[in-house]
Amino acid sequence: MNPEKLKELEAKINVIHKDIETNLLIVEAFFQDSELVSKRITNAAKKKVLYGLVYLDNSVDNALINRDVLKLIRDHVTKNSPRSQVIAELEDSIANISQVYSLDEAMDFLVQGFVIFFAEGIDNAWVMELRGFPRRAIKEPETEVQARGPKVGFTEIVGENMALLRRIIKSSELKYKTFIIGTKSKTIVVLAYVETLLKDDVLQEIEKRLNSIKTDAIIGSGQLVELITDHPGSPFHQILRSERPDRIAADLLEGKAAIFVDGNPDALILPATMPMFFTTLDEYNTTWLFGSILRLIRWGSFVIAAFLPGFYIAVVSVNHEVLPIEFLIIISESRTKVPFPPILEALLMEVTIEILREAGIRLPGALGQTIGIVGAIVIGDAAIRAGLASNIMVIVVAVTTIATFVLPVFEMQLSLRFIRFPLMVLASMFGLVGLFFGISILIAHLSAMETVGKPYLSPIAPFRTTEMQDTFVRLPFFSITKRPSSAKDIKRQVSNRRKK
Amino acid sequence: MIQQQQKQHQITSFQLIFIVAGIQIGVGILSLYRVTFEAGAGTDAWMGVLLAWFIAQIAIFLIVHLCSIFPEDSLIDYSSKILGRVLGWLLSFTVLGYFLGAAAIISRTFAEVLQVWTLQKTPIPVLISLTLIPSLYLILLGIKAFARFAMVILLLTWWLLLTLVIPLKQGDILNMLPIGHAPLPGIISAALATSLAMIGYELILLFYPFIDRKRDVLLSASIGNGLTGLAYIFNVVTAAIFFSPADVPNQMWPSLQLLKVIQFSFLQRVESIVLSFWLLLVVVTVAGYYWASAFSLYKLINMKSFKLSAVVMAPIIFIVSLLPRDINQVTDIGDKIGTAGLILSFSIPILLLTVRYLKKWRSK
Repeated sequence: MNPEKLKELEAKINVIHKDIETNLLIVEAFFQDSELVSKRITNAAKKKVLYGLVYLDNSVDNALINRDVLKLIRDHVTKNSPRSQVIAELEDSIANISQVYSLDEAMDFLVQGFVIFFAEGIDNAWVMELRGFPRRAIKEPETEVQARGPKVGFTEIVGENMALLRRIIKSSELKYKTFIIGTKSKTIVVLAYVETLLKDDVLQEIEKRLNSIKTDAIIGSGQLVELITDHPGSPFHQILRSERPDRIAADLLEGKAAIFVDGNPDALILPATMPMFFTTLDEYNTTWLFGSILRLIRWGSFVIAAFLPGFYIAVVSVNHEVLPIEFLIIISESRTKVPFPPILEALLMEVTIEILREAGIRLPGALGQTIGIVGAIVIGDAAIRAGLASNIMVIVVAVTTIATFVLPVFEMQLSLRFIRFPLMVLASMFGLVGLFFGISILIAHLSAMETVGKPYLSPIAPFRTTEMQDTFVRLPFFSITKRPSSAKDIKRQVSNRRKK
Repeated sequence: MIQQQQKQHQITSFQLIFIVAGIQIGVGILSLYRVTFEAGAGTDAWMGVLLAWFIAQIAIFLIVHLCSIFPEDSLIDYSSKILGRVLGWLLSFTVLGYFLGAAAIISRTFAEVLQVWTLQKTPIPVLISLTLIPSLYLILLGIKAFARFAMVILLLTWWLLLTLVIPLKQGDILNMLPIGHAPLPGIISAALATSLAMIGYELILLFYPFIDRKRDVLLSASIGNGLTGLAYIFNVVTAAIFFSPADVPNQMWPSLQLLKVIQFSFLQRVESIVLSFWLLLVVVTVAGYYWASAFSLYKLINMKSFKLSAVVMAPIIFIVSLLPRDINQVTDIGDKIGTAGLILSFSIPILLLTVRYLKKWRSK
């Protein structure tokens, strides 16, 4: 469309015209060369257009339009019923129908998959939700598999996700606020929270951040994360993403907010704290004893995955003295054929593993496994035999990689993969001192971060005794009587036959 | 207004416990037993530490009393209010110099320890930057981050005290006997010699306006000081039981030497690991003094931003820390800085309180 014509048309879209043909022509002009369908329903003499229907093909359910709209109008037109009766019946027979008073507004609904209904001589229109587009079945998310618990994951349709969440929190206190973000994509973004638990200032801050976004399109929810996060440059993610409705519900009940982005099968949870990246619902779905063990395993794995390669390099290249002589002999024997210094050997192996892992993700299931076997066993074994790496280094790298996978959240795995390398380089330069130099910077960074005003290291620093019951361990439900301090109402009702 | 106050009150009084303890525990503890032993307390060094603890407690009383008069101001603000511009400026400048010197000498001392124990070939300037860089980064992140950092580090390091149980078991109680043979002057001079290890509480003079609940400050600072005192006494008693008195003067850093006896079938020279771990605690100490000096500078010459003054301070501390020629001079200056800290933490409150009282009395 040329600019002059666009300007001319834009002047006309702030109202609905009484003349139905004008309305239809304007909408048709805007949606030239697209899948727009505009139906003109005329009276029996086929002279005068009485009603108009406009929708985008394939975004609506044709069967529903045939059955509920077209048939009804057709019947009335044949009977020559008055217009008001048609409209009244239509309003009664469609569940989601509302009036709009400008073409502009109507077209916003149109692109969301609504059907616009015009009537001759009336200066408003109706939008009806008769959407039908390709959707997939609800499945358990592959990236967040849990041993027990519901096998339900979010889908790409925001409305379905809201319904899944509502099925868990059946209370009027669960609120949804809708935002439309993206001038071109017009993505529906829904903020979900429990009114009595989310603090007002947190809610306002999140709303402010969502409202201030100006962009063409939001396609992935990760894009939104980057736009609303506090520290986009940090190697740690401050917004948790989950595909599990049960997990989101549990977090909402701790006083967090969740954000759904239409077209994405996950929800963002904020404000997220670091310990939240170590939890799954598995711990809550078993007795507290095993829940605590699971937690401790994860924190232990975090320490191994982040610091083991650095520690090994420090010991082998600088601090030989910390190992007893027998142990040192084993290591130096395994390293006799290796021509590289330990740091180069470690980087070689770590980078290889990262490449293998990246390759494995893109390949389909069976092929991915083959890559794993070829990579890990064949390359690892061959590297040792060829004298490019020592077998102890291969063990260290393997243990580190496996420990990374223990962490339940993909984002934390990414962070771990990243922070390992600077620590390794520092360890090769200054030994253990270098390792702890890196750790001090890491801890300083973590203690400074805040997400929407909530400290990232909470409840470790600032220290909260009550929240510690559910951080490194998970104590029994009946002993956890407080919600996280970031919730509006921190008293949690718990009692059973033992404890009133 | 409320927001502004919230913005200013960034440290909780609970965190102050860890700030005080974290700043106090630094490099002083490494040589604590030898220093107190040589000062004249002999194997009764723990009495000297106990006395030093009491002295520190009295200083904390005085300092908190002074601070409570001006709850929203730091020392730099009210020293000129009380003493007048010139004298106040002079006092603030002295304090600034002291903080600067303390930050420099602590990072230098730790660099020397590192060079002797693990990184023999690494030059001293590099070793100094190993504590200065995290400190700079930390204080650029703000005082809130510093408070949380101190907390995390203390939570990560308290278990190191437990490692002392092994040398305690291997020692001989006879080494420490007879208890109470040291003369009183010896114990007093031992207490004074402990000052480098005990200083740290005087930073409350600057931290005070940032603390949220002022009425808990005294309690928190005392608990922090108490934790330090207990850790030191445990350390000194263990050392007294472990080392034979004749051997003590040979031990430059007895606290590290103590850990040498800990051995596992897969790990030996545990002191090497502990020393690296100790870097975290030294960073808290250095960052504390670094923050104090940068903050004093920022207030003193009305700099545009605190970050700028922190960056300006970095090369100054670095150069000052390189000034001592060798390890003996480092130890000497360290002792002097400790003494200066002790003198300042008594003289500042006494001087300011007296002048304020006299002024009030005269105006009546």
